Amino acid sequence: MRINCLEAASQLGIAPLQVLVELAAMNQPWEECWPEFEEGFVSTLRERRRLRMGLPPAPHRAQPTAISYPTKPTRTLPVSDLAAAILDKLMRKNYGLKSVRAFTLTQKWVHGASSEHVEELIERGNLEWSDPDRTTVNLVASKLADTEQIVEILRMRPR
Amino acid sequence: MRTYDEIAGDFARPVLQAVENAQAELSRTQQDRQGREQTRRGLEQSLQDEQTTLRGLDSPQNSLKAEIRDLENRVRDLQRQVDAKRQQLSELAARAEDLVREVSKRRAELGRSQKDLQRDTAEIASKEKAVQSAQQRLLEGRISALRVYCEEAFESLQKTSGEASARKRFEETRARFEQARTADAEVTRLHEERIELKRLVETSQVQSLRDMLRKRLAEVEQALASRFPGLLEGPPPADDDPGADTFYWYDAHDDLTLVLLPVPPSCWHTPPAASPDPRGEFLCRVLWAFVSALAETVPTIECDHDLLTLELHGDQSRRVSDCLFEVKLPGEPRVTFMPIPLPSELVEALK
Repeated sequence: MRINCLEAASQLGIAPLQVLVELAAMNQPWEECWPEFEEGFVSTLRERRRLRMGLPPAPHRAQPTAISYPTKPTRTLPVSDLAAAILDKLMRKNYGLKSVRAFTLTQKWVHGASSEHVEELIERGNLEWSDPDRTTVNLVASKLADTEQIVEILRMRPR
Repeated sequence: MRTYDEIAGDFARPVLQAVENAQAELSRTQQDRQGREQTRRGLEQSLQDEQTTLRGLDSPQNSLKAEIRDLENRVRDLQRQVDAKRQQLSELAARAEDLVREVSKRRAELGRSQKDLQRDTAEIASKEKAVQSAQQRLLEGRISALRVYCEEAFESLQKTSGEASARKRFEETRARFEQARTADAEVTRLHEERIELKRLVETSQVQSLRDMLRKRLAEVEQALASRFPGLLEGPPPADDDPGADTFYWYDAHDDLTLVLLPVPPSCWHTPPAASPDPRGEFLCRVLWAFVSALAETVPTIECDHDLLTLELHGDQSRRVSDCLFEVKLPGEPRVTFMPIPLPSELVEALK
């Protein structure tokens, strides 16, 4: 089965062009990736991204995530929408445990988010301050699985 | 008769009387005198007493006089001081009046200055706003120029690719022609006739003959062009490695190095996903060129301000500046993008 970058992006929860960037970084000939590529690459890309994030390998899924999720009952977000959007952005950008300014998160990356949402995630333990001045934050390693779940719930919600 | 004594007595009697009177008077006078003497002595005593008293009074009088003199002197001094002070007061009053007038004048000037200042401040604020607005427009313009640059660079890749394809087609046509020129008698005849006709057109002096030769030359070229399209136009201009610039910058706040991709924002907003979209192939060629040059790194692609960038964590300026992003195009041509630092004012604008 072959798949195009839009479908793969939907499954991975990243931008379509990021799929191409990831494939390019795998040194695949572009002619084999455009307009479609082997579907098996999707799970490879997912694993590579999880690895870079510091997450353990994903459990094997018989079907692509995007197809299996709608059959599950809709789960409730344990955090506010904008707090979840912050986590989603960090996961999309594959930020791992690298620190980022709270200002950048709230003023540039996630429209409508504020320091309250950052505080909410810090209180919940998904984020932690990276510096004593409390200007930068990073994902908490021990909470990455929980963070991933929140992002999955957010992505599966009807828009 | 009266005896002498009597007569003498008669004579003597008044005298005696007189003497007695005189004596009595003398006695009285002496008594008076004594009384007067006593009075005089009393007076003298009194005078002495008075004089003593007077003398006794002389000292305090003198003292008082001296005091009075001192007081008078002090009064004079004070008067002089008063006069001097009055003079000073008068001068001060005059100066005060001058100062009041001056203050009034200065107040008026100050009022005018304050109004001028307020006007100037408002004008400066207005001009600063205009300058800021102009600077903002300038920055927006420069960001727009970056966007246009990316779009044109992307189009240029397609154009360069098209030219390369045309050159390739031309080379194939020319090879086919060269082969036919030796193997196909008709082609040989047409080719030789064309050369001869061109020579004759140049040397002919007769207008009617030249017109006839030109007409025949056009027929021959038409025959050749129908069999070998594009051959007579010659090869398209070649540009083996047209260089281009791309920009990179380091965002210290977010600790990210960003490399601008020569890709239009439409590729982000409506990503090409199927082969009929001509952008797909060139987008892939650009992405592969840039990502492979940044070996061992998986950058994040982002679209901000409608500019597509590759984000690298940390300050990778030196590493990026050493890269050459060589985009290989269909055929052999390639376009090399040289990374140059983005001007600092644009870096600020993009933050």
